[in-house]
Amino acid sequence: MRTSVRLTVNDEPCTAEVDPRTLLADFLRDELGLTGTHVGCATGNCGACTVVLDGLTVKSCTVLAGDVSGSHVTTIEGVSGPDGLHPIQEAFVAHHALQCGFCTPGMVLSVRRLLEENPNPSEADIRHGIAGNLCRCTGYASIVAAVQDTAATLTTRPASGT
Amino acid sequence: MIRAPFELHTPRSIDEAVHVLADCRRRGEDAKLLAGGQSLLPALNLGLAAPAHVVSLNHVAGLDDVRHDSDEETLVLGARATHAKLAASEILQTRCPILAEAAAGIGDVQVRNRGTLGGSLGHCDPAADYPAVLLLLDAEMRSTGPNGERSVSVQDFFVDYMTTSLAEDEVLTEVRLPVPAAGSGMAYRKFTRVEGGFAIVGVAGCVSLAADGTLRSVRVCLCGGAAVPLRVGAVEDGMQGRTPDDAWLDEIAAAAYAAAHDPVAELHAAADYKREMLRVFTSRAVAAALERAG
Repeated sequence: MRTSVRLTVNDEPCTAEVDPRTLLADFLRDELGLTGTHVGCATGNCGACTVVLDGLTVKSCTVLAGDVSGSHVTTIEGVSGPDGLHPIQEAFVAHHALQCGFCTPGMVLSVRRLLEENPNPSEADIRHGIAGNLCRCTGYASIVAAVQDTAATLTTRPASGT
Repeated sequence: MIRAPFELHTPRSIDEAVHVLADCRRRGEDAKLLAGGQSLLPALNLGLAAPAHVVSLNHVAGLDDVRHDSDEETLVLGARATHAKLAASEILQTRCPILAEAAAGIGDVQVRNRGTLGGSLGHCDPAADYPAVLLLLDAEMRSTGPNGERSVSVQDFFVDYMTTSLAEDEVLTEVRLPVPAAGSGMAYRKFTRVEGGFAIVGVAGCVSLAADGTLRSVRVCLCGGAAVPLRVGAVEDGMQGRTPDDAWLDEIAAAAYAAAHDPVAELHAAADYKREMLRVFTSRAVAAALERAG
């Protein structure tokens, strides 16, 4: 049996007939070739597969692709613009907030969502906001620093057109 | 990747979902309900569950409403309301903050965005946070099956380890609870190994005070004291008119310790340790509830 999936991924519409067992994470990777979404644990613990589903961060290994047909998805590939890296990504590079990089796509999406909701997070807010994303390389200190730096940059940057 | 094949159903109404479940039951085929998938999908991925049918409730409209029924002074929570929605609900923050507090402490951001009240209750994990809180609040669970709707009290809903009183062809649709009386303070405190971890123990406490500051009533419910949530009946008698002090708090904590007759031992916590932690966290939850009372 196949199930039909129709999604808008990074503003591009896509449709496919897939096995009902297909996870959203596998759909993005295997059907669309968007391999920036990583699958670490497949149990909803590590957060490497975090994507934005209809405006909210979710762990795409815990979502069936066939169950969210009609939804809008943003993956890490949709975060950087035509001008290059997103400021969060730039700050991650500057602060060495990654080593192996496996957790980074999910981490960046969680951070982006956190800063949308709270442009001036405290260290506790940051640690709370990324609690669903595990990093086994950095010990988090450099990630927290990168987020603080991004928050400072984004809040002091003048709004466009002024 | 999920190894065992299944058929995915996406009914548009509760009646249609019940019909699918009843059909599966008649044919002797396993079916699992899917809402947020935060328990079911890991189980499918690990091969711990391998149902022939997965019946999604994510296409049934209106199943995630949170509202205040002012005629009956009742809060009505749709089974598919997410933890994030309950945590952010102004209705709950105003009228029943303990439930918003418990919801805000579940898992992490992504889990709260996806996981649901009804999913957690139906899964019936003994380490889940809602059961003890709903027991404290005298909730009522409403479900729909082939014979129509029925209600069951929270005491009768949780039967045993990961077992509820729902039949195989029933769908939990709603949780209803009386709006807590003014003057009562409530708090939920839990012990986890890391942020977002399951509760090793959790305690929901409620304290009501009279105008003169003496006690009117005390109520304590436990997560982690047995396979199902427990109500510490011993703290409910003889409290009226007493003055809350340290000796009183120790007495309540000791009653919680005594009531926790059968904790489920796990990797990070032996049964005896859980009972000790229930003593500690009862003390903290009741102290916090007292601070909010009056």
